[in-house]
Amino acid sequence: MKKFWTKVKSFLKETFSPSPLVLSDGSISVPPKPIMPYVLIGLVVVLYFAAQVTNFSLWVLITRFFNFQYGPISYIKRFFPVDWSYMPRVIDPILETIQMSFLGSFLGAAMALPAAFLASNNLTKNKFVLTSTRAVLSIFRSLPILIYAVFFKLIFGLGALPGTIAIAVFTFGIVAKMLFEKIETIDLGAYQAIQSTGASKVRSFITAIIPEILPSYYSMSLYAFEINIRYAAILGYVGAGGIGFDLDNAMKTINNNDRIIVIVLFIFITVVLIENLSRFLRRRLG
Amino acid sequence: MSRKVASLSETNQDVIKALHSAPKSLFKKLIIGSIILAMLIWSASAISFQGINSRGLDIVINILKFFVWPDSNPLKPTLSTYLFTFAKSGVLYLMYETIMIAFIGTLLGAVISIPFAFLSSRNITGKVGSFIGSMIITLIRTVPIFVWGIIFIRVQGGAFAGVLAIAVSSVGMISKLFIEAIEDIDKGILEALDSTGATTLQKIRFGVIPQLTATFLSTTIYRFEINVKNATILGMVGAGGIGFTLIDALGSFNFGIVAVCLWVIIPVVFVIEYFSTKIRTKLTTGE
Amino acid sequence: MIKFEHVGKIYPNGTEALKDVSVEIQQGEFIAVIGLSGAGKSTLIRLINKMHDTTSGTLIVNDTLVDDSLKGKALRKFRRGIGMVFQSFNLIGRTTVIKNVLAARVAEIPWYRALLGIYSKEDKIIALDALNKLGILEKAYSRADQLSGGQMQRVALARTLAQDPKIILADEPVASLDPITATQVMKDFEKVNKEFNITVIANMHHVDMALKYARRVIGINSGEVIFDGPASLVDNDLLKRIYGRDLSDDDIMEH
Repeated sequence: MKKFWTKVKSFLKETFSPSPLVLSDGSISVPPKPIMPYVLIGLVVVLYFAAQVTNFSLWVLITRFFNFQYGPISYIKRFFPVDWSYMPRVIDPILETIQMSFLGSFLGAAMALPAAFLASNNLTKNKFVLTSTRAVLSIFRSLPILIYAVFFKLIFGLGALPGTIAIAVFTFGIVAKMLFEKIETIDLGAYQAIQSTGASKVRSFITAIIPEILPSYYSMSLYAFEINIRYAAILGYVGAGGIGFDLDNAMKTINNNDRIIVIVLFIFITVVLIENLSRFLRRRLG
Repeated sequence: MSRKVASLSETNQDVIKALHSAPKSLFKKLIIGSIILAMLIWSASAISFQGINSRGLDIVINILKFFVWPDSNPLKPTLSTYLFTFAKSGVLYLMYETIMIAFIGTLLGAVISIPFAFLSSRNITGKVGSFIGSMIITLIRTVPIFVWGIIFIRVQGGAFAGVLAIAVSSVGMISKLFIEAIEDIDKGILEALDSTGATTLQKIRFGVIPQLTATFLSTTIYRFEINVKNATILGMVGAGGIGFTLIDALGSFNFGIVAVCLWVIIPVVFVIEYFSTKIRTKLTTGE
Repeated sequence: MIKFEHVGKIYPNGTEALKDVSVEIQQGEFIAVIGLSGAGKSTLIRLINKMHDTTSGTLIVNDTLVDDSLKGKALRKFRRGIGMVFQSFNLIGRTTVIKNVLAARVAEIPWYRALLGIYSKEDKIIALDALNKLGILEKAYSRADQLSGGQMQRVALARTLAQDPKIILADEPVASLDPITATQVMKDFEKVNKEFNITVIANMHHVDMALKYARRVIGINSGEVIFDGPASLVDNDLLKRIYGRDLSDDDIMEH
């Protein structure tokens, strides 16, 4: 019994504060203080509290999951047989989703260029402008896109407009960030050279820096478009346009549950098409 | 404008020739430009300005007013009821719940992703396995998260549903990145271990796992960051967290509550993003 | 005309780069500034187009007082008359040669042209003309990063010519080039200086090149002007004083 506890004690000691190793020639090597054990303990503690808060229960998961009468499976059963005749009516909402995503991505990416200029620490020396631009970009990235959709819906009403603007704002946040991170890595020689001819900072930026970042910029914008098509499909849920509305309707109306598969299928096809198109174009850009 | 160079009329013949021999890359640019322009015009046609709320400007001003001072309406005090309280209806508790939902959800998703990713990697199950795996992943990724939320409410409404929704939706992205890491494994290290006579278990423990842990951890942390934002929304469908309070308040023009929610959400997300980026760069460049 | 009167430059970190420099340069001169790295050569020429500011003394360039009051639009207008060539060429790699030279015109064209990068026929003729004068007209539509080092520097020089400047500053213009190409570029500077009467002030660390092409030499040691006179008067003793040591292989281009 005692042997067991000594073993446990020495294991704990070695894990939390390992002793220095003495090598054959007498020199001493001190292992760095390990943080993994502490991190693991921390995780377990957080896990415990998290499980409490969220009422996580493996038992509930297993019993309810396979409950055929009330569980998710009973719900999923209602998706079949699939109502294929709904297909033509999916086309318009899907197109609207694509329109929102395209226009929103374009607008957001366009606004990102001047913002990235202001947020690059090698171009903008004014600390106030720099930090405030970055702060605004941070905020625009932090909020989930649905919140923008609801916000703009209050102002612009139902339809594709709030959704497009929501996507634009979100795209603006992420493209601007990727852009200024890129700008901070490029060689500013040509930029300084054009300034030495008497051109203003803005003109020098347009003439010397934009050509250098253009391929990356297009790539980032395409990437944003790729991500946005999936978000655009959700925005309809709050009435901001797109197929999300139809999907929500299909899920909540018992008679229409058989449309869900059709809708998801069309979203799937659209996403796959656009992702592949985007990847193809991005590869062509080098 | 006086110039030291020859005036235009005396300009060298060679120069004039060069002027006219410019390559016509303009054509290609015009084509691409017109396609994009056409797409833009088509996209814009989806927008109708009919629904614009005539009081739109008032609403914006109101929102800003409440954002700066949530207690702007003395009849509906928000700071005391929602912010400075640990009650379950207060935003502090709700945000805590949201983060916890994201935490367990991400962990669960990561755990499920590990075997799934291994089974979908080209170097383990070949082209067939990886194709099936990528199709399943794309399917998971295209199903909007609120759909998962609604499905899982039937297991148990509230936060648990949120956890499951987050878990399943995370499998998509996490598996995809896991698979990339698995397919990138340096075989050379395994061969070296082979030559020292290591058993399969030892090869896995010392050859495979060290190469993968950094990416796995980094991916999971990144997804957690995203999931906190997703969890914020899931509340809308009744899956727990601050989402319901926020959207409900927004819809009923209770901007004080909206403001208080945002006061909590924005810094929290910002801080999580900051630490997430820090830890992930440390993982990929050191530790 | 450029006039330095007791000019001094102390950087914010405390380094005293230039001490009490008084020099007068007339229009059309070809001057080489020589000295050790860090002696103050680079600082001296960058004061002329105000890329750095003087901390003491007066600097007058072509009747303009170069001090703190020179900024914004006035500064940009002032810089249009001064061209600058750099050691690393500083061209825009991804664009064509002609677009690089046209960039010199960006400061003068209307804003809508600058925004879209659309230049007028007159602009293009100016650019092509400059390229022609330097003998690389045939490269006008090639991508800039596909040229050799010597060609790139000539494009840079063409860019300054397109500005129609009175002064051209050159910061180690041939330090990145091999001897043969360097000679070609130095000859281009010589031609530009003689044919168009443009003042050329070149920072050089290759002494032989400096003495061969410049007519006047300014030698700087530790921020002070040790010598200012005709190139023909520069001998080994003087060089030793300017460099503070014997010349090494690094200081000479052609062996």
